Amino acid sequence: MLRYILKRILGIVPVLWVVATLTFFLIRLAPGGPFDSDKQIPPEILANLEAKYHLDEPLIAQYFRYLGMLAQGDLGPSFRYASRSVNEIIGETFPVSAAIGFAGLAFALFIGVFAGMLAASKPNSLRDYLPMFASMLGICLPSFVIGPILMLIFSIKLGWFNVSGWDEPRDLVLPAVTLGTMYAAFFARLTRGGVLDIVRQDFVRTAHAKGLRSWLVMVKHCLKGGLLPSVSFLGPAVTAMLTGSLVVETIFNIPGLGRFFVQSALNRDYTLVMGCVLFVAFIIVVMNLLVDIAYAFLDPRVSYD
Amino acid sequence: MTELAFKIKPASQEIDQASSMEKGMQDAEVGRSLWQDALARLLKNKMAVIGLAYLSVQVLLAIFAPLIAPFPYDQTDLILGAVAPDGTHLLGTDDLGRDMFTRILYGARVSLAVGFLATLVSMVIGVSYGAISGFVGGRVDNLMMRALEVLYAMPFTFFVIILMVLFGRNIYLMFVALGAIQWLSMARIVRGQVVSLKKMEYVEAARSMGVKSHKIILRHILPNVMGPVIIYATLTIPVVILEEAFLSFLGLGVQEPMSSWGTLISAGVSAMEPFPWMLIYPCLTLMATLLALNFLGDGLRDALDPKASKD
Repeated sequence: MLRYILKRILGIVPVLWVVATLTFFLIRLAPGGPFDSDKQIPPEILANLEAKYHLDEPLIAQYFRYLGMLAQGDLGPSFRYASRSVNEIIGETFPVSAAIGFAGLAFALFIGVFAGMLAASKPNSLRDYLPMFASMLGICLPSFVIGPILMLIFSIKLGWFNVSGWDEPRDLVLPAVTLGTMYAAFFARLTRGGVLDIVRQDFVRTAHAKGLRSWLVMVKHCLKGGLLPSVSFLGPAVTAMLTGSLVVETIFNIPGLGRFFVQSALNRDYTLVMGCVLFVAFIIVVMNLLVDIAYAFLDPRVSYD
Repeated sequence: MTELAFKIKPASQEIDQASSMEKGMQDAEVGRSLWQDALARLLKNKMAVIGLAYLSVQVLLAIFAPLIAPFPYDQTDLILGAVAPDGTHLLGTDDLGRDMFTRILYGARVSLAVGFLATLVSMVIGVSYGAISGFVGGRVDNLMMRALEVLYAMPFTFFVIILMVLFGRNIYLMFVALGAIQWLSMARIVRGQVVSLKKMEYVEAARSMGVKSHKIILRHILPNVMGPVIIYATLTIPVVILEEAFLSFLGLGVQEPMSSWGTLISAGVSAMEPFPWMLIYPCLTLMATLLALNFLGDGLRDALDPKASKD
């Protein structure tokens, strides 16, 4: 197991290298530069600026310079937000996105697993059809549809939450629900499938036979195995939460990583764009690794040796 | 949707056997092919049929939008402004006085075209990649699958955003970019199928007769892979439509005065308080289309692959 984990950690390096290379050349091949603006910058100043950020060097030299910095964990200075480093900006904005992401994931898992268990506890009954119909609707409710609707109902009409902003803890609720709804639907369907595979097994029948209450059978014997499909979906779900934060942070006007990313791309802030993409890739790879390790603990049939 | 489709099992051969057995039991004259069999099963699924009917109407409306639309899609009427749905404007007008029904119709052209074309792009890439990897096998297969694993960890949506920002909001670029990020699972599914298919006796037979590799792939392997590919493609379309709406919502998709469902929703959000109909109708259209596609995809899975579980 330890060897497997080490191997996987080493495997992160090539992934990040591919991401860095792709993003670097993608950005540089595009027309336009970070210092284009409506105001004409005098050529001497532009030359100075470019020299300061090494933009006057050949592309390939810049590429290796960037990789060198990256190896030391330095994402470079931001081009647009002078005097701030990309590390600082990510360090400030990521906790905000992470808070929303984790709250959203927790919401999705809680609702999804509960609905899935409920549906699987009595298949082909109303108790099954209702949650499954709701989950079908949920799959068709992207964040940019449900977010504004929630805002319209709970902030504008009922006044329970602030319309936008990021000042108090309750500002977390609507963004998290917005982000989590679609994934609650996925988790519900996955849990239902997983649990249905388990309830047909002998040890569950034994548990029933020895007189265990049926909800206890579900929680004690079916839940663990029934969670497996959901656990393997956690990796993609985390990726989706990170991507979804782009929209949610725009809708609710929250100063997180996602909003900064869109802004930095529009500004052609090369280092900030690269920093964001690399950071997100890093999070995805690490989460996938954690999910695979968790899988081995949940399912004794899986071993990585 | 992506993950859910992984459950597809390599069962087309079993269907083959099942349908030939069925054939034997029926009258000797009337034989039903695998596809006729699947069609019959699909038509029994009510939700899938409703989905298919809805989609057909939606596609026809989109194709004939210029003939059906009661107003030009970019005709503004600033004096009229935003009016609630009434007799002349079935779904109301937006804040520039443009007819919402017309704009949703035209939006369907963009959204559906992106959905179908990007899925086609992803199918072409995914099927070729998977078929080559699975058929060649050995070292090449190993390498190609490793590359796929690395690609799985890419934050692709971020790449597409960079592309759209840097190279301008070009709709053809969007087709290709969205298709190019959706082929990974397709490649995996096809590879799995091809690996099991190439061990079949009829492929061995063809090879022993000296049939060239590319002909074996085209004649014997690909037709048998089509089932899972169609199922997965149907489930990719809604994902792509969502991606396009997502990009348009961020202001990176199609540009005014053209509309897609994403841009309409985005405009609706900024006007939702005074003019809720600007948000509600585009949202409903998008949701109905996604629902229909998902029901159809589920139905197709049950029809083409009866052994796969529903979940």
